[in-house]
Amino acid sequence: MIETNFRLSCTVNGEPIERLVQPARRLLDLLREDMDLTGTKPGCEAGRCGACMVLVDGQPMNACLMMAYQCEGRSVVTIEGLSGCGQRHASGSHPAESYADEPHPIQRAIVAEGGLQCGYCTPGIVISLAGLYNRTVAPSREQIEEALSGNLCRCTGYEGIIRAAMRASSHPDPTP
Amino acid sequence: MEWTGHSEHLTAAVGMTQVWRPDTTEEAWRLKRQYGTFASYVAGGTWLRTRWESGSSVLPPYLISLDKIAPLQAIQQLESEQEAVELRIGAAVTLAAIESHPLAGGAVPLLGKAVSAVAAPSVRRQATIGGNVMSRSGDLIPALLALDAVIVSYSQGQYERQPLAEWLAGDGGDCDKLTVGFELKQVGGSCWFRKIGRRETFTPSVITIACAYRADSTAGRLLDVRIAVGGAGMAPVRLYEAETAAESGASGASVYAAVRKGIPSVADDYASAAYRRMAAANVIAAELDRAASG
Ligand SMILES: Cc1cc2nc3c(=O)[nH]c(=O)nc-3n(C[C@H](O)[C@H](O)[C@H](O)COP(=O)(O)OP(=O)(O)OC[C@H]3O[C@@H](n4cnc5c(N)ncnc54)[C@H](O)[C@@H]3O)c2cc1C
Ligand code: FES
Ligand code: FES
Repeated sequence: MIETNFRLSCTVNGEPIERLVQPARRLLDLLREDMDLTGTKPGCEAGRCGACMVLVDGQPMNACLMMAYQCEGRSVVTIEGLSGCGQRHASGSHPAESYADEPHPIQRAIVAEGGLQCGYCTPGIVISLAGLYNRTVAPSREQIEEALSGNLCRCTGYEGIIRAAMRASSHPDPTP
Repeated sequence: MEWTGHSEHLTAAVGMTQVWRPDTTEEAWRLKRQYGTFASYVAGGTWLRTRWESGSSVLPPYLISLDKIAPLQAIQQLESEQEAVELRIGAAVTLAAIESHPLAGGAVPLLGKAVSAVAAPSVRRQATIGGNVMSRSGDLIPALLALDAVIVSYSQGQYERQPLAEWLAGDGGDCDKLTVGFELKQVGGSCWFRKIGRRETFTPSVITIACAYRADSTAGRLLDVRIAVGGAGMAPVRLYEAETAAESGASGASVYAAVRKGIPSVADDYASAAYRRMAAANVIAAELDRAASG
Protein backbone atom coordinates (compact mmCIF):
# COMPACT_ATOMS: atom_id res chain seq x y z
CA MET A 1 0.00 0.00 0.00
CA ILE A 2 3.01 2.34 0.25
CA GLU A 3 3.15 4.49 -2.82
CA THR A 4 6.52 5.62 -4.18
CA ASN A 5 6.38 6.16 -7.89
CA PHE A 6 2.87 4.87 -7.92
CA ARG A 7 0.91 4.14 -11.06
CA LEU A 8 -1.42 7.06 -11.61
CA SER A 9 -4.54 6.27 -13.51
CA CYS A 10 -6.81 9.12 -14.50
CA THR A 11 -7.99 10.84 -17.68
CA VAL A 12 -6.39 13.96 -19.11
CA ASN A 13 -8.44 15.75 -21.75
CA GLY A 14 -10.55 12.67 -22.14
CA GLU A 15 -7.59 10.31 -22.75
CA PRO A 16 -7.04 7.55 -20.19
CA ILE A 17 -3.59 7.94 -18.63
CA GLU A 18 -1.58 5.22 -16.86
CA ARG A 19 1.86 6.35 -15.77
CA LEU A 20 4.42 5.87 -13.08
CA VAL A 21 4.78 9.15 -11.18
CA GLN A 22 6.08 10.48 -7.89
CA PRO A 23 2.94 10.64 -5.73
CA ALA A 24 3.75 14.10 -4.32
CA ARG A 25 4.51 15.56 -7.76
CA ARG A 26 2.34 18.56 -8.49
CA LEU A 27 -0.32 18.24 -11.16
CA LEU A 28 1.14 21.46 -12.63
CA ASP A 29 4.52 19.74 -13.23
CA LEU A 30 2.88 16.57 -14.47
CA LEU A 31 0.98 18.51 -17.11
CA ARG A 32 3.65 20.98 -18.19
CA GLU A 33 6.85 18.95 -17.87
CA ASP A 34 5.79 15.35 -18.31
CA MET A 35 2.95 15.82 -20.79
CA ASP A 36 3.98 19.02 -22.58
CA LEU A 37 0.60 20.60 -21.87
CA THR A 38 2.04 24.08 -21.36
CA GLY A 39 -1.27 25.92 -21.69
CA THR A 40 -1.65 25.51 -17.91
CA LYS A 41 0.45 28.40 -16.60
CA PRO A 42 2.60 28.67 -13.49
CA GLY A 43 2.14 31.97 -11.65
CA CYS A 44 2.26 32.29 -7.89
CA GLU A 45 2.53 28.48 -7.42
CA ALA A 46 0.66 28.80 -4.14
CA GLY A 47 -3.04 28.81 -5.06
CA ARG A 48 -3.43 32.58 -5.29
CA CYS A 49 -3.43 33.63 -8.95
CA GLY A 50 -5.45 30.98 -10.81
CA ALA A 51 -3.09 30.85 -13.82
CA CYS A 52 -2.80 27.09 -13.32
CA MET A 53 -6.55 26.38 -13.16
CA VAL A 54 -7.74 23.07 -14.65
CA LEU A 55 -11.08 21.29 -14.50
CA VAL A 56 -11.04 18.28 -12.19
CA ASP A 57 -14.23 16.27 -12.49
CA GLY A 58 -15.71 19.33 -14.19
CA GLN A 59 -14.79 21.81 -11.43
CA PRO A 60 -11.97 24.38 -11.45
CA MET A 61 -9.03 23.39 -9.23
CA ASN A 62 -5.48 24.76 -8.85
CA ALA A 63 -2.93 22.48 -10.53
CA CYS A 64 -0.18 23.97 -8.33
CA LEU A 65 -1.95 22.78 -5.16
CA MET A 66 -2.84 19.26 -6.27
CA MET A 67 -0.47 16.35 -5.93
CA ALA A 68 -0.41 13.44 -8.36
CA TYR A 69 -2.00 10.96 -5.93
CA GLN A 70 -4.93 13.37 -5.49
CA CYS A 71 -5.73 12.99 -9.21
CA GLU A 72 -6.21 9.22 -8.99
CA GLY A 73 -9.38 8.14 -10.80
CA ARG A 74 -10.33 11.69 -11.73
CA SER A 75 -10.93 13.51 -14.98
CA VAL A 76 -8.55 16.41 -15.66
CA VAL A 77 -9.30 18.88 -18.46
CA THR A 78 -6.73 21.53 -19.36
CA ILE A 79 -7.11 24.51 -21.66
CA GLU A 80 -5.84 22.32 -24.53
CA GLY A 81 -8.74 19.93 -23.97
CA LEU A 82 -11.41 22.56 -23.66
CA SER A 83 -11.85 23.35 -27.34
CA GLY A 84 -14.47 20.99 -28.60
CA CYS A 85 -15.90 20.67 -25.08
CA GLY A 86 -18.45 23.47 -25.43
CA GLN A 87 -21.31 21.01 -25.49
CA ARG A 88 -23.89 23.05 -23.68
CA HIS A 89 -25.10 26.46 -24.58
CA ALA A 90 -27.76 28.57 -22.88
CA SER A 91 -30.08 28.43 -25.87
CA GLY A 92 -29.54 24.71 -26.28
CA SER A 93 -29.62 25.31 -30.00
CA HIS A 94 -26.08 24.24 -30.71
CA PRO A 95 -25.50 20.51 -30.80
CA ALA A 96 -22.20 19.31 -29.34
CA GLU A 97 -20.81 18.30 -32.72
CA SER A 98 -20.90 21.84 -34.00
CA TYR A 99 -18.16 22.73 -31.50
CA ALA A 100 -15.94 19.76 -32.25
CA ASP A 101 -13.03 21.76 -33.69
CA GLU A 102 -13.93 25.21 -32.49
CA PRO A 103 -12.81 27.20 -29.50
CA HIS A 104 -15.07 26.93 -26.46
CA PRO A 105 -17.88 29.55 -26.37
CA ILE A 106 -16.09 31.26 -23.45
CA GLN A 107 -12.93 31.58 -25.55
CA ARG A 108 -14.91 33.06 -28.44
CA ALA A 109 -16.69 35.49 -26.11
CA ILE A 110 -13.36 36.61 -24.60
CA VAL A 111 -12.09 37.44 -28.09
CA ALA A 112 -15.36 39.22 -28.94
CA GLU A 113 -15.26 41.38 -25.82
CA GLY A 114 -11.53 42.05 -25.70
CA GLY A 115 -11.28 40.17 -22.42
CA LEU A 116 -7.50 39.77 -22.64
CA GLN A 117 -4.33 41.74 -23.15
CA CYS A 118 -1.07 39.88 -22.49
CA GLY A 119 -3.07 36.64 -22.21
CA TYR A 120 -1.07 35.02 -19.43
CA CYS A 121 -4.05 34.69 -17.09
CA THR A 122 -6.45 33.76 -19.91
CA PRO A 123 -6.26 29.94 -19.82
CA GLY A 124 -7.03 30.03 -16.09
CA ILE A 125 -9.86 32.53 -16.56
CA VAL A 126 -11.38 30.46 -19.36
CA ILE A 127 -11.23 27.31 -17.23
CA SER A 128 -12.87 29.06 -14.24
CA LEU A 129 -15.68 30.36 -16.44
CA ALA A 130 -16.10 27.02 -18.24
CA GLY A 131 -16.46 25.40 -14.79
CA LEU A 132 -19.12 27.95 -13.89
CA TYR A 133 -21.03 27.30 -17.13
CA ASN A 134 -20.86 23.54 -16.44
CA ARG A 135 -23.13 24.09 -13.45
CA THR A 136 -25.01 27.36 -14.10
CA VAL A 137 -26.93 28.15 -17.26
CA ALA A 138 -27.19 31.92 -17.03
CA PRO A 139 -24.98 33.09 -14.16
CA SER A 140 -25.50 36.49 -12.56
CA ARG A 141 -22.71 39.06 -12.37
CA GLU A 142 -22.29 38.13 -8.71
CA GLN A 143 -21.85 34.44 -9.58
CA ILE A 144 -19.35 35.36 -12.29
CA GLU A 145 -17.34 37.50 -9.88
CA GLU A 146 -17.34 34.69 -7.30
CA ALA A 147 -16.23 32.16 -9.94
CA LEU A 148 -13.36 34.49 -10.91
CA SER A 149 -12.38 35.32 -7.33
CA GLY A 150 -9.40 32.96 -7.52
CA ASN A 151 -8.06 34.41 -10.78
CA LEU A 152 -5.82 37.45 -10.96
CA CYS A 153 -5.40 39.50 -14.12
CA ARG A 154 -2.78 42.25 -14.13
CA CYS A 155 -3.89 43.79 -17.43
CA THR A 156 -7.58 43.99 -18.23
CA GLY A 157 -9.22 45.46 -15.15
CA TYR A 158 -11.67 42.51 -15.36
CA GLU A 159 -14.56 44.35 -17.04
CA GLY A 160 -13.85 42.84 -20.48
CA ILE A 161 -13.68 39.39 -18.89
CA ILE A 162 -16.98 39.87 -17.10
CA ARG A 163 -18.61 41.17 -20.30
CA ALA A 164 -17.33 38.06 -22.06
CA ALA A 165 -18.82 35.83 -19.37
CA MET A 166 -22.18 37.58 -19.78
CA ARG A 167 -21.96 37.37 -23.56
CA ALA A 168 -21.38 33.62 -23.43
CA SER A 169 -24.83 33.14 -21.92
CA SER A 170 -26.71 35.89 -23.71
CA HIS A 171 -25.50 35.31 -27.29
CA PRO A 172 -26.42 32.06 -29.04
CA ASP A 173 -23.11 32.47 -30.91
CA PRO A 174 -20.56 34.49 -28.95
CA THR A 175 -18.19 34.78 -31.94
CA PRO A 176 -17.45 38.45 -32.79
CA MET B 1 14.10 32.62 -18.89
CA GLU B 2 13.04 28.99 -18.87
CA TRP B 3 10.58 28.05 -16.15
CA THR B 4 12.18 25.52 -13.85
CA GLY B 5 9.35 24.78 -11.45
CA HIS B 6 9.59 25.21 -7.70
CA SER B 7 12.81 25.41 -5.73
CA GLU B 8 15.47 22.73 -6.19
CA HIS B 9 15.29 21.46 -2.63
CA LEU B 10 11.53 21.02 -2.92
CA THR B 11 11.87 19.22 -6.25
CA ALA B 12 14.41 16.85 -4.68
CA ALA B 13 12.16 16.26 -1.66
CA VAL B 14 9.18 15.43 -3.90
CA GLY B 15 11.24 12.60 -5.40
CA MET B 16 11.86 11.11 -1.97
CA THR B 17 8.43 11.52 -0.45
CA GLN B 18 6.28 8.47 0.03
CA VAL B 19 2.53 8.77 0.38
CA TRP B 20 0.50 6.41 2.52
CA ARG B 21 -3.22 6.28 1.95
CA PRO B 22 -4.65 4.27 4.85
CA ASP B 23 -8.31 3.18 4.87
CA THR B 24 -8.89 3.48 8.60
CA THR B 25 -8.34 5.92 11.44
CA GLU B 26 -6.39 3.29 13.37
CA GLU B 27 -4.05 2.59 10.46
CA ALA B 28 -3.40 6.32 9.88
CA TRP B 29 -2.57 6.85 13.54
CA ARG B 30 -0.25 3.79 13.60
CA LEU B 31 1.68 5.15 10.63
CA LYS B 32 2.04 8.54 12.28
CA ARG B 33 3.20 6.91 15.51
CA GLN B 34 5.70 4.81 13.55
CA TYR B 35 7.26 7.67 11.55
CA GLY B 36 6.82 10.46 14.13
CA THR B 37 8.22 13.79 12.98
CA PHE B 38 9.27 12.28 9.62
CA ALA B 39 5.58 12.11 8.68
CA SER B 40 2.73 14.54 8.35
CA TYR B 41 -0.99 13.95 8.02
CA VAL B 42 -2.25 15.58 4.84
CA ALA B 43 -5.90 16.36 4.14
CA GLY B 44 -6.29 18.84 1.24
CA GLY B 45 -2.62 19.83 1.53
CA THR B 46 -3.39 23.50 0.74
CA TRP B 47 -2.00 24.93 3.98
CA LEU B 48 0.97 22.56 3.87
CA ARG B 49 1.67 23.59 0.26
CA THR B 50 1.99 27.27 1.22
CA ARG B 51 4.42 26.27 4.00
CA TRP B 52 6.55 24.07 1.72
CA GLU B 53 6.67 26.63 -1.10
CA SER B 54 7.61 29.46 1.26
CA GLY B 55 10.24 27.31 2.98
CA SER B 56 8.52 27.69 6.39
CA SER B 57 8.50 23.91 6.69
CA VAL B 58 9.96 21.05 4.68
CA LEU B 59 8.14 18.39 2.75
CA PRO B 60 8.58 15.35 5.03
CA PRO B 61 9.67 11.92 3.75
CA TYR B 62 6.24 10.46 4.55
CA LEU B 63 2.81 11.90 3.93
CA ILE B 64 -0.19 10.17 5.46
CA SER B 65 -3.15 11.10 3.33
CA LEU B 66 -6.60 11.06 4.94
CA ASP B 67 -8.49 10.90 1.66
CA LYS B 68 -9.47 7.24 1.86
CA ILE B 69 -10.78 7.16 5.43
CA ALA B 70 -14.56 7.12 4.91
CA PRO B 71 -15.77 8.42 8.32
CA LEU B 72 -13.53 11.48 7.94
CA GLN B 73 -15.36 12.45 4.72
CA ALA B 74 -18.92 12.37 6.12
CA ILE B 75 -21.39 14.95 7.44
CA GLN B 76 -23.88 13.27 9.76
CA GLN B 77 -26.80 14.35 11.85
CA LEU B 78 -26.42 13.01 15.40
CA GLU B 79 -29.32 11.55 17.41
CA SER B 80 -30.43 14.29 19.78
CA GLU B 81 -33.20 14.77 22.33
CA GLN B 82 -33.09 18.52 21.74
CA GLU B 83 -34.85 20.37 18.97
CA ALA B 84 -31.65 21.89 17.60
CA VAL B 85 -29.90 19.79 14.99
CA GLU B 86 -26.61 18.30 16.15
CA LEU B 87 -24.01 17.54 13.54
CA ARG B 88 -20.76 15.70 13.18
CA ILE B 89 -18.55 16.98 10.37
CA GLY B 90 -15.68 14.66 9.40
CA ALA B 91 -12.26 16.29 9.61
CA ALA B 92 -11.50 15.66 5.92
CA VAL B 93 -14.75 17.19 4.60
CA THR B 94 -13.87 19.95 2.15
CA LEU B 95 -15.00 23.52 2.70
CA ALA B 96 -16.92 23.37 -0.61
CA ALA B 97 -18.83 20.30 0.62
CA ILE B 98 -19.73 22.12 3.86
CA GLU B 99 -20.84 25.18 1.91
CA SER B 100 -23.27 23.22 -0.23
CA HIS B 101 -24.49 20.68 2.36
CA PRO B 102 -28.04 21.48 3.52
CA LEU B 103 -27.27 20.35 7.09
CA ALA B 104 -23.98 22.22 7.40
CA GLY B 105 -23.49 25.49 5.51
CA GLY B 106 -27.26 25.73 4.99
CA ALA B 107 -28.52 24.93 8.49
CA VAL B 108 -25.66 26.50 10.45
CA PRO B 109 -25.40 29.96 8.86
CA LEU B 110 -22.41 31.12 10.92
CA LEU B 111 -20.38 28.14 9.68
CA GLY B 112 -21.67 28.73 6.12
CA LYS B 113 -20.56 32.37 6.22
CA ALA B 114 -17.15 31.51 7.65
CA VAL B 115 -16.51 28.80 5.07
CA SER B 116 -17.42 31.07 2.13
CA ALA B 117 -14.96 33.66 3.44
CA VAL B 118 -11.98 31.30 3.08
CA ALA B 119 -9.83 31.66 -0.07
CA ALA B 120 -11.48 31.14 -3.48
CA PRO B 121 -13.90 28.40 -4.65
CA SER B 122 -11.14 26.31 -6.27
CA VAL B 123 -9.12 26.23 -3.03
CA ARG B 124 -12.25 25.42 -1.03
CA ARG B 125 -12.80 22.33 -3.19
CA GLN B 126 -9.54 20.95 -1.81
CA ALA B 127 -9.16 22.56 1.64
CA THR B 128 -10.74 20.77 4.60
CA ILE B 129 -12.22 21.78 7.94
CA GLY B 130 -9.71 19.58 9.80
CA GLY B 131 -6.74 21.19 8.07
CA ASN B 132 -8.16 24.63 8.78
CA VAL B 133 -8.48 23.99 12.50
CA MET B 134 -5.28 21.97 12.90
CA SER B 135 -3.28 24.83 11.39
CA ARG B 136 -4.42 26.73 14.53
CA SER B 137 -4.76 29.87 12.44
CA GLY B 138 -7.75 29.05 10.22
CA ASP B 139 -10.66 31.44 9.82
CA LEU B 140 -13.14 28.71 10.73
CA ILE B 141 -11.87 28.56 14.30
CA PRO B 142 -13.70 31.69 15.57
CA ALA B 143 -16.96 30.43 14.02
CA LEU B 144 -16.54 26.97 15.55
CA LEU B 145 -15.66 28.54 18.91
CA ALA B 146 -18.79 30.69 18.83
CA LEU B 147 -20.80 27.53 18.07
CA ASP B 148 -19.27 25.72 21.09
CA ALA B 149 -17.90 23.03 18.79
CA VAL B 150 -16.35 19.87 20.18
CA ILE B 151 -13.27 18.36 18.56
CA VAL B 152 -13.18 14.55 18.29
CA SER B 153 -9.76 12.95 18.05
CA TYR B 154 -8.24 9.49 17.98
CA SER B 155 -5.13 8.15 19.65
CA GLN B 156 -4.06 4.70 20.86
CA GLY B 157 -7.38 2.96 20.30
CA GLN B 158 -9.35 5.72 22.05
CA TYR B 159 -11.66 8.41 20.74
CA GLU B 160 -11.69 11.63 22.77
CA ARG B 161 -14.18 14.50 22.72
CA GLN B 162 -12.97 17.89 23.94
CA PRO B 163 -14.47 21.39 23.71
CA LEU B 164 -12.59 23.27 20.99
CA ALA B 165 -11.97 26.17 23.42
CA GLU B 166 -10.18 23.78 25.78
CA TRP B 167 -8.19 22.20 22.94
CA LEU B 168 -7.06 25.65 21.78
CA ALA B 169 -5.95 26.63 25.26
CA GLY B 170 -3.59 23.63 25.36
CA ASP B 171 -0.55 23.03 23.19
CA GLY B 172 -2.14 20.15 21.28
CA GLY B 173 -0.19 17.63 23.38
CA ASP B 174 0.26 14.34 21.54
CA CYS B 175 1.19 15.44 18.02
CA ASP B 176 0.36 12.02 16.54
CA LYS B 177 -3.31 12.45 17.49
CA LEU B 178 -5.63 12.29 14.51
CA THR B 179 -8.55 14.69 14.42
CA VAL B 180 -11.59 12.71 13.34
CA GLY B 181 -14.25 15.42 13.24
CA PHE B 182 -16.17 18.23 14.90
CA GLU B 183 -19.52 18.15 16.65
CA LEU B 184 -21.70 21.22 16.81
CA LYS B 185 -25.27 22.31 17.32
CA GLN B 186 -27.33 24.47 15.09
CA VAL B 187 -27.98 27.79 16.87
CA GLY B 188 -31.01 29.87 15.97
CA GLY B 189 -31.14 33.63 15.53
CA SER B 190 -28.84 35.90 13.59
CA CYS B 191 -25.13 35.91 12.93
CA TRP B 192 -22.35 37.71 11.12
CA PHE B 193 -18.77 36.95 10.20
CA ARG B 194 -16.10 39.55 9.33
CA LYS B 195 -12.49 39.42 8.26
CA ILE B 196 -10.56 42.66 8.62
CA GLY B 197 -7.32 42.70 6.70
CA ARG B 198 -5.17 44.28 4.08
CA ARG B 199 -6.92 42.39 1.29
CA GLU B 200 -10.25 40.61 1.06
CA THR B 201 -8.62 37.19 0.64
CA PHE B 202 -5.23 35.56 0.23
CA THR B 203 -3.55 37.34 3.13
CA PRO B 204 -4.15 36.27 6.72
CA SER B 205 -6.69 38.62 8.27
CA VAL B 206 -5.62 41.10 10.92
CA ILE B 207 -8.69 40.07 12.85
CA THR B 208 -11.48 37.58 12.13
CA ILE B 209 -14.72 37.95 14.08
CA ALA B 210 -17.60 35.48 14.37
CA CYS B 211 -20.78 36.49 16.17
CA ALA B 212 -24.18 34.86 16.77
CA TYR B 213 -27.11 36.14 18.85
CA ARG B 214 -30.87 36.15 19.20
CA ALA B 215 -32.70 39.46 19.28
CA ASP B 216 -35.70 39.95 21.55
CA SER B 217 -37.29 42.78 19.63
CA THR B 218 -40.07 43.45 22.16
CA ALA B 219 -37.63 43.94 25.03
CA GLY B 220 -34.97 45.46 22.78
CA ARG B 221 -32.45 42.96 24.21
CA LEU B 222 -29.91 40.54 22.82
CA LEU B 223 -29.89 36.96 24.07
CA ASP B 224 -27.39 34.12 23.80
CA VAL B 225 -24.66 36.38 22.39
CA ARG B 226 -21.57 34.48 21.21
CA ILE B 227 -18.48 36.36 20.02
CA ALA B 228 -15.14 34.82 19.07
CA VAL B 229 -12.07 36.34 17.42
CA GLY B 230 -8.92 35.08 15.75
CA GLY B 231 -6.40 36.44 13.26
CA ALA B 232 -2.81 36.27 12.08
CA GLY B 233 -0.53 35.08 14.87
CA MET B 234 -3.25 35.39 17.50
CA ALA B 235 -4.68 32.50 19.51
CA PRO B 236 -8.46 32.50 18.81
CA VAL B 237 -10.60 33.28 21.88
CA ARG B 238 -14.21 33.74 22.97
CA LEU B 239 -14.99 37.21 24.33
CA TYR B 240 -17.11 36.12 27.31
CA GLU B 241 -17.09 39.49 29.09
CA ALA B 242 -18.25 41.29 25.98
CA GLU B 243 -20.99 38.68 25.50
CA THR B 244 -22.26 39.28 29.05
CA ALA B 245 -22.12 43.05 28.57
CA ALA B 246 -24.15 42.81 25.36
CA GLU B 247 -26.74 40.47 26.92
CA SER B 248 -27.17 42.72 29.96
CA GLY B 249 -28.04 45.65 27.74
CA ALA B 250 -24.94 47.57 28.85
CA SER B 251 -24.03 50.70 26.90
CA GLY B 252 -22.10 50.53 23.63
CA ALA B 253 -19.13 52.01 25.50
CA SER B 254 -19.16 49.10 27.98
CA VAL B 255 -19.29 46.51 25.18
CA TYR B 256 -16.48 48.39 23.44
CA ALA B 257 -14.35 48.31 26.60
CA ALA B 258 -15.05 44.62 27.21
CA VAL B 259 -14.01 43.73 23.65
CA ARG B 260 -10.77 45.69 23.96
CA LYS B 261 -10.00 43.92 27.19
CA GLY B 262 -10.62 40.46 25.73
CA ILE B 263 -8.50 40.75 22.56
CA PRO B 264 -5.09 39.11 23.08
CA SER B 265 -2.22 41.54 22.77
CA VAL B 266 -0.55 40.52 19.52
CA ALA B 267 1.31 42.71 17.03
CA ASP B 268 3.03 41.98 13.73
CA ASP B 269 4.68 44.00 10.94
CA TYR B 270 1.31 45.17 9.63
CA ALA B 271 -0.93 45.76 12.64
CA SER B 272 -0.12 46.84 16.17
CA ALA B 273 -1.90 45.27 19.15
CA ALA B 274 -3.68 48.59 19.73
CA TYR B 275 -4.95 48.69 16.13
CA ARG B 276 -6.30 45.13 16.39
CA ARG B 277 -8.11 45.93 19.62
CA MET B 278 -9.57 49.14 18.25
CA ALA B 279 -10.68 47.62 14.93
CA ALA B 280 -12.35 44.65 16.64
CA ALA B 281 -14.05 46.82 19.26
CA ASN B 282 -15.35 49.27 16.62
CA VAL B 283 -16.86 46.53 14.48
CA ILE B 284 -18.32 44.46 17.31
CA ALA B 285 -19.80 47.37 19.27
CA ALA B 286 -21.33 48.90 16.13
CA GLU B 287 -22.83 45.62 14.92
CA LEU B 288 -24.30 44.73 18.31
CA ASP B 289 -25.69 48.22 18.74
CA ARG B 290 -27.39 47.91 15.34
CA ALA B 291 -28.75 44.48 16.27
CA ALA B 292 -30.12 45.68 19.63
CA SER B 293 -31.85 48.67 18.09
CA GLY B 294 -33.51 46.31 15.59
C1 LIG C 1 -4.47 30.56 -1.80
C2 LIG C 1 -4.81 30.18 -0.41
C3 LIG C 1 -5.68 30.99 0.30
C4 LIG C 1 -6.03 30.66 1.61
N1 LIG C 1 -6.91 31.47 2.26
C5 LIG C 1 -7.29 31.13 3.51
C6 LIG C 1 -8.26 31.93 4.20
O1 LIG C 1 -8.79 32.92 3.67
N2 LIG C 1 -8.59 31.56 5.46
C7 LIG C 1 -8.07 30.44 6.06
O2 LIG C 1 -8.44 30.13 7.18
N3 LIG C 1 -7.16 29.68 5.43
C8 LIG C 1 -6.75 29.99 4.18
N4 LIG C 1 -5.82 29.21 3.53
C9 LIG C 1 -5.17 28.11 4.25
C10 LIG C 1 -5.79 26.73 3.99
O3 LIG C 1 -6.20 26.58 2.67
C11 LIG C 1 -6.99 26.43 4.86
O4 LIG C 1 -6.70 26.68 6.21
C12 LIG C 1 -7.47 24.98 4.69
O5 LIG C 1 -8.72 24.80 5.30
C13 LIG C 1 -6.49 23.94 5.21
O6 LIG C 1 -7.02 22.66 4.96
P1 LIG C 1 -6.19 21.50 4.23
O7 LIG C 1 -7.08 20.30 4.21
O8 LIG C 1 -5.68 21.92 2.93
O9 LIG C 1 -5.03 21.32 5.28
P2 LIG C 1 -3.63 20.56 5.12
O10 LIG C 1 -2.68 21.45 4.43
O11 LIG C 1 -3.83 19.20 4.57
O12 LIG C 1 -3.25 20.40 6.67
C14 LIG C 1 -3.02 21.51 7.50
C15 LIG C 1 -2.38 21.02 8.82
O13 LIG C 1 -3.32 20.24 9.56
C16 LIG C 1 -2.84 18.91 9.77
N5 LIG C 1 -4.02 18.05 9.63
C17 LIG C 1 -4.92 18.07 8.60
N6 LIG C 1 -5.93 17.24 8.88
C18 LIG C 1 -5.68 16.68 10.08
C19 LIG C 1 -6.37 15.74 10.91
N7 LIG C 1 -7.54 15.22 10.54
N8 LIG C 1 -5.81 15.39 12.09
C20 LIG C 1 -4.62 15.92 12.50
N9 LIG C 1 -3.93 16.82 11.76
C21 LIG C 1 -4.45 17.19 10.57
C22 LIG C 1 -1.76 18.70 8.71
O14 LIG C 1 -0.81 17.75 9.14
C23 LIG C 1 -1.19 20.10 8.61
O15 LIG C 1 -0.29 20.32 9.67
C24 LIG C 1 -5.48 29.50 2.21
C25 LIG C 1 -4.60 28.69 1.49
C26 LIG C 1 -4.28 29.02 0.19
C27 LIG C 1 -3.36 28.12 -0.57
S1 FES D 1 0.13 29.11 -10.08
FE1 FES D 1 -1.50 28.01 -9.21
S2 FES D 1 -2.74 29.54 -8.41
FE2 FES D 1 -1.02 30.66 -9.07
S1 FES E 1 -4.42 39.61 -19.73
FE1 FES E 1 -2.45 39.95 -18.87
S2 FES E 1 -2.68 39.08 -16.89
FE2 FES E 1 -4.66 38.99 -17.67
